[in-house]
Amino acid sequence: MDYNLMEAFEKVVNDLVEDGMTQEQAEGIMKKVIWNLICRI
Amino acid sequence: MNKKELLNYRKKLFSDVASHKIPDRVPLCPFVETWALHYAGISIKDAFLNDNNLLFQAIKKYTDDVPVDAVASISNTVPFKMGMNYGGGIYTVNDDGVQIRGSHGKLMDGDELIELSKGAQEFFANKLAVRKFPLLDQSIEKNVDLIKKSIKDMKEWMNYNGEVIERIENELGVPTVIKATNYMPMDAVLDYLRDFVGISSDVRKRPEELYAACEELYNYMIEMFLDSNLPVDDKWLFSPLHYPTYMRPKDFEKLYFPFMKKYIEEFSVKRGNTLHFFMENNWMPYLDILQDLPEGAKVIGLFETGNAKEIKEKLKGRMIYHGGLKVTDLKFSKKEEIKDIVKKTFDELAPGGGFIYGTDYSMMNLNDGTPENFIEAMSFAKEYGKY
Repeated sequence: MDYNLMEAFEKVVNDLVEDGMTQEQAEGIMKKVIWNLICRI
Repeated sequence: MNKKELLNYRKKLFSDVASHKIPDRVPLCPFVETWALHYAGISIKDAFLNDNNLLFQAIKKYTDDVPVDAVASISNTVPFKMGMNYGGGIYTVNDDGVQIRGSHGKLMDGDELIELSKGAQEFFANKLAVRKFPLLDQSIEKNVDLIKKSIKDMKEWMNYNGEVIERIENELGVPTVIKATNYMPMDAVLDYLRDFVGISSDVRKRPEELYAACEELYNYMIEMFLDSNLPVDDKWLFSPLHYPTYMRPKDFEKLYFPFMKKYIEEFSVKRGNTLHFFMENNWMPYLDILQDLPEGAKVIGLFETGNAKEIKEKLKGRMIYHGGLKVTDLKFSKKEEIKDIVKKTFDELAPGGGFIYGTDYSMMNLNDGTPENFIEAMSFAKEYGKY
């Protein structure tokens, strides 16, 4: 991979904010997806 | 009582006992998981993935037949569909239950704990996610789409479960007590990052690095949980404590206990949540250390083994005793022996409150307890447990 996966997550956060979510909400969701990837599924 | 009154009555039993008051009677909350689906003859895969009415019907059959005051959990705790989109996670589900696929608990080396301690989110995303799911080695655009799909999958899974919990409460008058699960940081390290051999070596060889990594994981978990804005209500936050009893008490006191205590202070003392710890294995050697937990907090411990009376007495005011019904008695005893078994337990543990009656182990398969014995135990307990 020639980029860090966090860059993809940051793009998703930006898109969620553009769709009307607050920055805090979008970052909260990102945190949960990352946690679930490693410590749930 | 109508269903709403019944629901409120049952909720009060639990809120009273968790608040160290004596309830109307001993609340009954056996730790039933997929046993209910086997008992109802319903495919676990279909109930967890395809039709949430099947999950509801299984729990309805169980609570119609066995007089309990709460469903501990609806058991659908893994977002399987999310995992499928990453090429499969560490769990699989079929008609008979949930399985762990091989040994996937070791995702990182001990010398990476320092990197974890400097930033869990970046380390998880940039290092571990790619290591765990090779299909993430693709263009950024494809991964953006995949992450968006994960958000959708997570929401659908939460709604799927939420609808079942709502129906259980409204149509059956039975509360589902576990609201969410939070891992103690060292258990997350054990289960998902280092595995048993790895973490045991870390405890001996690099305890400071392990502790620092746990501090970072703890902060991550707290932030994540607070971001979700879950209401403080009468439902419990659940934590299965996997690793403590494999530690020497002095290691437990130094490396694990500080997080357990901090968690209780943050969520129960400060925020008013009821916390439910699944105290796996034998906690007798650790009871003196637990004396340092805050008094009067709403903390429930489900104990698998040990001397129940001694545990209850030693932890009085610090932890409510949950358990007392051995699944081996449900499995091997004769039906006519069950009342005496329940009576003996209640005579020992019910006086003074601080007691929730439930099974010592979670019930997964039908052979974890015969329905006849289970119904007999709970029916008698409901009458005999009146204060």
